Amino acid sequence: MIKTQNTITPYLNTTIRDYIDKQIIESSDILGVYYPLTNFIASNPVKGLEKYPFDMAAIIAKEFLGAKFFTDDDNDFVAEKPQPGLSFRIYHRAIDDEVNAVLIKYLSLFCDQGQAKIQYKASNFFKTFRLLAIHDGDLRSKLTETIIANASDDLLFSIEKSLIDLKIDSEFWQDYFRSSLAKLPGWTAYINYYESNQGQEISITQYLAVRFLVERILICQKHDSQLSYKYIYINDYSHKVTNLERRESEFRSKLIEDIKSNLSSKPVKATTDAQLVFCIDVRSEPFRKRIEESGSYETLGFAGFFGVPVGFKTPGHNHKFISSCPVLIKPKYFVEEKLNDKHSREHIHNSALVYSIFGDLKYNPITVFNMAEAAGTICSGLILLRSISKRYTKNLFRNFDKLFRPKLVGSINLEKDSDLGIDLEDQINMAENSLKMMGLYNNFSELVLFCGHRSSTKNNAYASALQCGACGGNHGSPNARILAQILNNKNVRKALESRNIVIPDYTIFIGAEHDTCTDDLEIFDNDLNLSKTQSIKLSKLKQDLVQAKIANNLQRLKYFGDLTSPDIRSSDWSQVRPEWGLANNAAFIIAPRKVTQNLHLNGRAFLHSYDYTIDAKGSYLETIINAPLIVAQWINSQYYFSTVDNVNFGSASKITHNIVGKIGVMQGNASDLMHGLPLQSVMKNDKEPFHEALRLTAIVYAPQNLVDEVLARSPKVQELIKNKWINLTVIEPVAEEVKA
Amino acid sequence: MLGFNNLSLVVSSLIITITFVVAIFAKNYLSGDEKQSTFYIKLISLSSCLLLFANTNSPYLLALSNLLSNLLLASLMIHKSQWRAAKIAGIFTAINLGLASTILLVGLLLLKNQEFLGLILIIISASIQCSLFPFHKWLLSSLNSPTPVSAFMHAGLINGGGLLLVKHADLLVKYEILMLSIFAIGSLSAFIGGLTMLIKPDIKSSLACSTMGQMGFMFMQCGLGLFPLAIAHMCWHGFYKAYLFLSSASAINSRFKKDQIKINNSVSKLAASLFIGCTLSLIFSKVCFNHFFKADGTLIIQGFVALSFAQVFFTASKAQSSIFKLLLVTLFYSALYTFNVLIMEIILGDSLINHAVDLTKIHLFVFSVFAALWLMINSKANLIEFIPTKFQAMTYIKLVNLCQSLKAATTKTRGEYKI
Repeated sequence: MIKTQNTITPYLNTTIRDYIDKQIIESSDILGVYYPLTNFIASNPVKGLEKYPFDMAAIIAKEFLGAKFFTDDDNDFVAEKPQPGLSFRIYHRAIDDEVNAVLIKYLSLFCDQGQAKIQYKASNFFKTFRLLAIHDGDLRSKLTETIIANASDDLLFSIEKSLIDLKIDSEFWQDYFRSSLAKLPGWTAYINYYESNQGQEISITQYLAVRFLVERILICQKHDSQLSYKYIYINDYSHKVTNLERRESEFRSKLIEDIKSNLSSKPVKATTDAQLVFCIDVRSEPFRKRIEESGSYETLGFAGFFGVPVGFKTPGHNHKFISSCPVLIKPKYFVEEKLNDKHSREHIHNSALVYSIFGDLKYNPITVFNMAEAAGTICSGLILLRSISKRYTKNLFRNFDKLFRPKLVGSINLEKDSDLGIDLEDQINMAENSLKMMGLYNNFSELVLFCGHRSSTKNNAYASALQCGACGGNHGSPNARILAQILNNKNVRKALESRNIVIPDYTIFIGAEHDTCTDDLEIFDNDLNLSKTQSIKLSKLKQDLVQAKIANNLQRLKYFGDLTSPDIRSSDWSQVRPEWGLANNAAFIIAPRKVTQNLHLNGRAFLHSYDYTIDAKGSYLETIINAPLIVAQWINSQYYFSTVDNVNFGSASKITHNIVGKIGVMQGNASDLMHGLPLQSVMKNDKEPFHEALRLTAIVYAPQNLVDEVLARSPKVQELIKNKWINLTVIEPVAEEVKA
Repeated sequence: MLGFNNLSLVVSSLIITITFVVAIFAKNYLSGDEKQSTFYIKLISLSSCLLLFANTNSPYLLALSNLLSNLLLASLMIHKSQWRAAKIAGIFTAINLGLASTILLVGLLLLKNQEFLGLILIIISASIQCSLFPFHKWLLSSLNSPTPVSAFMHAGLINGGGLLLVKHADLLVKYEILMLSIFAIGSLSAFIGGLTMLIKPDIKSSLACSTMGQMGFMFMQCGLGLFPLAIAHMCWHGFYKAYLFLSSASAINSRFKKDQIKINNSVSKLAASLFIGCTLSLIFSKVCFNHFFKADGTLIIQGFVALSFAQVFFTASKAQSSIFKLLLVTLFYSALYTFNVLIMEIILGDSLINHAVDLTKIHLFVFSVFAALWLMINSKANLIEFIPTKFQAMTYIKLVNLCQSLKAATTKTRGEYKI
C-alpha cells in the first residue's frame, strides 16, 4: 500500500496514477448501469455487487445505499461474528446534501440530450464544471476561484490533490470513492452507462474529480469539514434459510413437479397449420397458450431479435439507424425500410413539416406567446376528447391516426450494397443458427410466422421498458420481417439443405408483431405471393388470432381486477398501468415446447425453445445461457429490486415524475436520477406489491453432463449461480434418440 | 355580492372545464394512490373557491376566496406529506400566495380613499399570483406536486392575477404610469421566462418558466389596454399548458427536436417571411382591431403576431415545401390565431375595456428587444453563440440561476423521497 505523499508534485508519478485508477475501478462495484429511457434496457441496479454472494451484497447495499434487499417479510437473515476479512469504511460528510444538490444541478445540465435548446458544454464534464462554477453565484466564495483555478487539467492529479486537501488517507481512498459514488446512485449509474456506451464526455473519474472540488468549495464556504465514517466487516456471517429462499424453493419444486408430470403424459401433434415463433418474453407465454388452444398451431420461443443483429432505419424516423439487437452485441448489418409509393413519402414530409413548425414556434421566446393562443382551441378540443369518453376517443384517435399517422409499411432491401444489406453467406449462417437454436429444423408447416413484439401505450415515459429488450428497447417487427425474408430466399434455402435443414417448397415465412398491451398480432403479408392453400390457412389463422386475443384479454382483466378493456388502457393518456409488463417473472425454461405445453405458467416464465438432440457440443446451449439467460436475469433483478425497495432501486410514483434531459426521470423539482421501474409497474397500489419478488429460476431440459460442460465454459453464469443471484436446475430428458 | 357578466361566464367555463378534465385524468393517474380521495375533495373545494373568486364583486369575498384557493392549492401540492421537499415547497407557496391575498385585501380596502396606492398593491398581489419576476420562485419550486395539480395550477389558479387586473381595468386605465408599469414588469417576465424555458434540462421546469413568460405576456396585453386579448390569452394558454403538463410523460420521445441543420443564404427567405408575416398581421389587425394599422398599443401586438406568422412561413420554407404548401400552412395558422382571438372578443363584447394606450419609447424599446431576439434565434442554433466566448459561461450560469427552485424544496438524497 502506498502512503500519502506529503509534498505535492506537479506531475503525478505513475505508481500513484495507477493506484488511483485501480481504486476507482475497484470501488465502482457499487455502481449500477442505467440505460436512458429512450432505449430502456432492464438491468440489475446493483450489477457490480454480483461478484459477492447475494446476502453479502445485501449488507453492502444496506450500508452504502441505505437500500433494502428483501421485502419486510423476508428480512430475517443476520450477520454474525464479524471477523477481519472484507471490510469497508462508509464515509458521511455533514455537507453531503449540499454537495449532492450542486452535482444534481450540473449533471442535469450536462447530461441533457436535447430538452434544453440553449446549452453550454465544453469538451467534457470536468472542464465544463470548472468554467461554469467560477461564475456560479451559488458557489461564490473567496476560495472558489482559487480552488478551481488551481485544479489541474489532469483528472487524477486533481483527485489526488483534493484527497490530500480533504485529509483522506491513501489507504482509504477506495472506500471514499465508493462512498462518493453511492451518494447519487442514479446519476452515477447513468454515467457508468454513458462512459461504456457513448463516449468520454463524462466518466466516473470526472464525477469524482468534480465531486471532490465541490466538497472543498463548500467546506470553505460553510466552514464545516465534519467527516464521519462507519466501519463494517463482512466475512463469516451465518446464513439462515430466509423466507425468500423458502418461497423460491416452493415455486421451483412446484414448477419442476409440473414439468415432470407433463412429460409423462402427452401425445405431440405431428403437423400443424402454422408455426409461430415468439420472443422469450414472459408476456408471450399466455398468448402462445391461447393460440395453441384456438387451433392446430405450434409455437416456439426465441430471443426477439431472431438472431439478426441489425441497425434499422424506419422511414421518417430521424434519419438514424436504431440498434435493433441486444445491448450485449453491436449491430453487424445496416438495413433500411423504404417506402414504395409517393403518397406515403409525401405524408412523411408533411408530418415532419407540421412537427417542425410546432417545434419552432414553441421553442422561440417570441412566437410561443401567440402560439399558445393559436394552439388553445386545438388543445382544448383534444383535451376534452381524451377525457369525455375513452371509448369514443379510441375510435376517434384510430381514425385520426389513419388520417394523420397511417401505418406505413415499406419494403426492406437486404441485398448487399456498400454499407447496407447483408451478405448472402451471412444470411445463410444466421438462418441456420437461428433455426437450429430454436429447434425448428424439420416438420415445417405451410406458414411459419416470426412474431416480434411491441407495446402500444400513450403518454408513457416508460414505453420503451415495455418494448422488446432483445431489440434494444425497440419494437421487434423489423428483425422478424428480415429473418422471414432471408428464409424465403431460394438461394438461402438451397444452401441450408446441405446443412441438414430442408425447407419444403410449400412453406412460407412471414414477419409479424405481437402487441403485448392489446394482444393484437399484426401480420406483414403485404408483399408476399401466397399460394391458395397458404392464403386459406392464413385467413383461418387471422380468425383464430382474434379468438386468442379475446381469451387472453379476459385473463388480463382478472389481473387488473377492473373491467377496462386492454384496448382502452392502451390508448388512454392518463393510464399509469397500461399493462403489467414483465411483472411476476420468475423462471427461465430452456426446453422444447412439449415440455411446458400443458402447463399454466401464468406469464411467469421466459420460454426458450431448445433441442439438445442437435446440439452435441452444447454450443447453442452456451449461447442461450450466456445471452438470453443473462438478459432475463437483468430483467428479473430489475423487477425484484424495484419491488423490494422502490425508492432506492425503482423510480417511485409516476405521479410526480419529471423527465430530465430526455434521458430519465427525477422526482419533483430535482433529485437523483430515478433509475429502475416506477411504483405503478410493480405495485397494485401504494402498499401492495403486484410483482412477487423471486430470484430467477432457470430450468434446462438437457442431459446433465452436457449442461456441466457448457457451464464450465461460462464463468459469468457460474458466478451468478454460485453467488445465488440465479438458481439453475437441470431436468434430465427421458431417453430419446440423439439425432445429429 | 355576486355579479355575472360575460367575463365571469368565460372565466367560469374555463375553471369548470379544467376541473373536469383534471378530475377525469386523475381517476386513472392516481389510481392506487393512498391520497386519491383527499385529492378529489380538495380539488372540488379549490374549484368552488375559484368560481367564487371569478364571480364576486365584494372585495372581502374576492380576497377571501383568493386566500382559500391559494391555501388549498398549497395543500394539494403537498400530496405526499412524508416527503420533506414537497412539504417545504407547499409551505413556501402558502406563504407567498397568502401574502399575495393579504396584499390584495389591503389594496381592495384602500381603493375607496387611496385609489392609486390601492391599485399598486393590487398589481403587486397580481404579480405574485402570476409568479412574475422576481416573485417567480414559488412556481419554480412547485414541481413536487402531482402532474394533475400542476396542470390545474398552470391552467387555472395562476391566472388569478390577470383576472384581478381585468376586474380593475376601468380604474387602471386612468393612470398612464400604472399601465406602463404593468407593461414593463410583464415584458421583463416574458423575456426572462421565454429565455429560461429554453435553458432548463427538465420538462416540468421548462414548462414552469414558460408559464412565467406567458403570464408576463398577459400583463403586457393588459398594460397595452387590450384586456379582451389578455382574457383570450389566459383561456387559450390555460388549455395549452394543461395539455402539455398532462402529456409531460411523452417528453421522452417527443419529436419536436430542433432542426440542427442551419440555414445558409436564407436572408431572402427571411425577408420574404417577414413580408408575408407583416401582410397577414395587417389582415389580423383589421379583423380584430378594426383597423389595418394604427400607431398605438395594438401595434406592439401586431408586431408579435407578424413575427409568429413569419416564423411559420420561414420554418416551412426551410423544409423545402412547395410554395402552395407554404402559403397554405401559413394561412391556416394565421386564420386559426385570428379566429381564436376574435371569438373571445365577440363573446366578451362590450363588457371589457378595449382601448389601446398610446405608444411610448418604452413600448418600442421592449418590442425591438424581442424582435432582435427573434432574428437571433432564427440565425443560430444555440443562442449562447451570440455572446463573446469570454462571457458565455458567465451568462449561461447566471441565466440558469435566475430561475431555480428553492434549494430546500429539492430532493437531495434518494431516501428522502417517501411514498
